[in-house]
Amino acid sequence: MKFSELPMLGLGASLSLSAQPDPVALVRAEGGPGFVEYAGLVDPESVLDEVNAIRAAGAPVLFHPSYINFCGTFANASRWLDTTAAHIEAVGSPWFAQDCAYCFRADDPTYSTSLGYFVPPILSHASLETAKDRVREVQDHVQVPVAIEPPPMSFQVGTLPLLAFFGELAEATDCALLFDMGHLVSYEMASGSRIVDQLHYLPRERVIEVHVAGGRLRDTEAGPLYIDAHEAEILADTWAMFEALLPRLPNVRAVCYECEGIAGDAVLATLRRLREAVRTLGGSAELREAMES
Amino acid sequence: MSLQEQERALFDLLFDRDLRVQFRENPTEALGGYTLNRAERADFDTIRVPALERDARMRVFMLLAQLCQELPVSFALASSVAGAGAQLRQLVDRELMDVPVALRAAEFGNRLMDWMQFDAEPPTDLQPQMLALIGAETAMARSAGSLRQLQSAAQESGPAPTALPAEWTTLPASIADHACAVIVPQSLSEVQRALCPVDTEDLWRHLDGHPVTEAQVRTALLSEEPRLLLVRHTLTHTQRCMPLLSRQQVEVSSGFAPLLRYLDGRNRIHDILEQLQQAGAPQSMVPAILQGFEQLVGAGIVRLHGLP
Repeated sequence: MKFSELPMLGLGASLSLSAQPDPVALVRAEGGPGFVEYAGLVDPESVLDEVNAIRAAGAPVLFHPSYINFCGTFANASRWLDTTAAHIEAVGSPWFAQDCAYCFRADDPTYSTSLGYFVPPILSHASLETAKDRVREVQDHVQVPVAIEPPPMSFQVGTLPLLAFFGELAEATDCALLFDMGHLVSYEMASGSRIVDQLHYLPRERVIEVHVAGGRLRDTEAGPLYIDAHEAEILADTWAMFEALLPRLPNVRAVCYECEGIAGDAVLATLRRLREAVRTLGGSAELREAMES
Repeated sequence: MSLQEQERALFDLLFDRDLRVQFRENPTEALGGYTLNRAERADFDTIRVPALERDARMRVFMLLAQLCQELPVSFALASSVAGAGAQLRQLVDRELMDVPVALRAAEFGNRLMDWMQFDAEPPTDLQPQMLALIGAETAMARSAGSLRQLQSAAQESGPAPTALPAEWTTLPASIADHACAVIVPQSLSEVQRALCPVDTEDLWRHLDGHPVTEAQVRTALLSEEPRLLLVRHTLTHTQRCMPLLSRQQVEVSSGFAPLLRYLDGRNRIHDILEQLQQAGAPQSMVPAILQGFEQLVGAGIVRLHGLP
């Protein structure tokens, strides 16, 4: 797969389709997002009106749900995968990305909220082999490139380095990667390892999308714990991860600010800061140039 | 020795409080019940136990927030009882998480009722009403859950008629599929208005910080006026994977309850009214009963057979 041929989406925002801030108003605002990512229900009919309004305002969309098992022994149901393919086609999502985590157990496909939220994968060789089956299972149904994302992690099970797990998974299945800077910070805190020390495992050209989002830190006896919180401020650790990694990723097609629940003005202010950072730090000329348009 | 066994251990650690305590004290012993080889067992050595515990608490909070959306009055009533916060958290455990997602809220409602009946100490005079209201919401959750599990059957049950034909009282009638009927001591919707001041999506977060007081419960349940609550769940539109339900809910006088058994798919509303009059029911009652049936047919809770 030549990921460099995917469309350059530039800087965008992940928003809730039915809540503030209004995606269409943001897209139309000066300095607003160039694309909108959303986490919707699997059935496309439930989002088509909102998505069509966003596309009519001039922004492409990325579908980023939370119901696919990209790891573990609980297989995805064909009905859900077929519907996902129909959803992607209906909204024109140029690729399909989601956290590589457990969303459901047993023969009971549903959204990750059924477990509270994502359960991270076991970082072991056996788990890696099974994850390859899960990714291929999705690729067999979906017509666009698949991108997998390390999920937020409070704790680590397994001894494989995160980037060794995801690097081999991406190579073996020929899929793309999405890196959420906060999730990587959460891994560093959960594991005591540093992401920059694992970069040699990473097929960097496969990273096509980057997420930046707010978070909160909680102290525990075992040290700090990162909590994904899109409505909160972006933490200094997250900015630092972004600044450290972005220049090393040569093929990023989309930088997404996840900002559900944040006021429109604050979203635009953060997009300005992100745009400036990408203009300076972007790992490819094409991405840096996309910030000018 | 398998990944499945590791997954079983991982999910148990997330949803089994006692196992986590054991894991903190002696990880090897805690995982002794799982068939893991040395390497598989070693994968769990990387867990920061305090972070796991925090993660598990956050998950329970999120799960309660979802369950609260299906059982808002039950959560509000329970919050008024001493020790409710901790108890509600304890009701989310490994066994509950093994219940199919569609039926989880009904199972939680059953557990809540057991707690309120046998272990909690609500005011004695209010306990029967509280139990009846929790029972009603649990029945509604069960009805919704069974429909979610049988969505194809539900699609066959069809929507409620948009306009009643003139001859509707002469058509055979029955209780619709996926409908349930329960007697409640007060109007459930009025109790919800009184005790649930925010949207159900935000209710658990609100109740966790601001539980309902006994005085509020007492005021809400003050005037006992038994009602027959009838509920029918239907699909809002065809969904291939996760059915989205809407709920038609009607409350009528509890005196209506004995009439429901005549709705067997053969009797007509007209016949039922005639038999009532022959049995000595005053003529003045008939319009009110007719209006009640009209409401139930209009909501799709009573189904007319032979409609085009």
